[in-house]
Amino acid sequence: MASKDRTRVVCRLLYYFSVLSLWLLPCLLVVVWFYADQIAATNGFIPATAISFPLAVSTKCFMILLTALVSAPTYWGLFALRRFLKACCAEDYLSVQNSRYLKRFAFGLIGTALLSPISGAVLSVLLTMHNPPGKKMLAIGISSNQITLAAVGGLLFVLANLLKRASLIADENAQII
Amino acid sequence: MRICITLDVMLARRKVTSRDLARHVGITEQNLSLLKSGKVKGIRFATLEKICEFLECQPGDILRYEVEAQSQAA
Repeated sequence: MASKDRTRVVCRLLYYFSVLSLWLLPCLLVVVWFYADQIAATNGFIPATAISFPLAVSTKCFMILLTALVSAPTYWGLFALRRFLKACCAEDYLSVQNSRYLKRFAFGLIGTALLSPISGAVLSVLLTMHNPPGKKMLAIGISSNQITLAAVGGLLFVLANLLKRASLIADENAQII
Repeated sequence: MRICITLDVMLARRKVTSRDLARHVGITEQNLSLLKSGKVKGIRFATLEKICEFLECQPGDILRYEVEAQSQAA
């Protein structure tokens, strides 16, 4: 398989993956929060005494909205990635608009990396705020996942800038007969 | 632009159509039209060579340097 075709196949696969993610993300939010109590009870990460089980439907709905707000940068980034990959599938690699899409995806990743420790802390406070004193929780979790995500976001931002420069050069070359 | 392209003059002198020249050079008529109107940023040596070959002329016959009015005043 030629390199050009391979790139197109990879882009096509990633495009389908991004489309699937765009559909799955909202579904996952609902599934996770409507089965959150079972998950929390079984995985043992959160002590069973910390959160009152089962969660009220209103609490679950509020949590879905809050998580949706927090995952908005991810969704925005995925949307931009879908457009970028769609253009790549059509072999339209070098364009300023493509670099903009890639930059948006990079910002989405960085935003997700920055927001996830904050969202974790906010969720832990909100879920345990009705507990008696001494049983309220504030969980702040910064893992290597977030650092990696931010680093990948930064790298993609640099690559998007390079793509912009390359597209400008390609544009200039197109004007040389 | 200070470099003027006088390709249309040369085409008229040689009584050659743009289509024939474009076909010989291997560029589209649209690109040749852009070249004639000077709306391009550059011309490749290979293109120039083929144009000169077909029109039997020198690069100087289709390119001319024009001194701008400002520099003339100075």
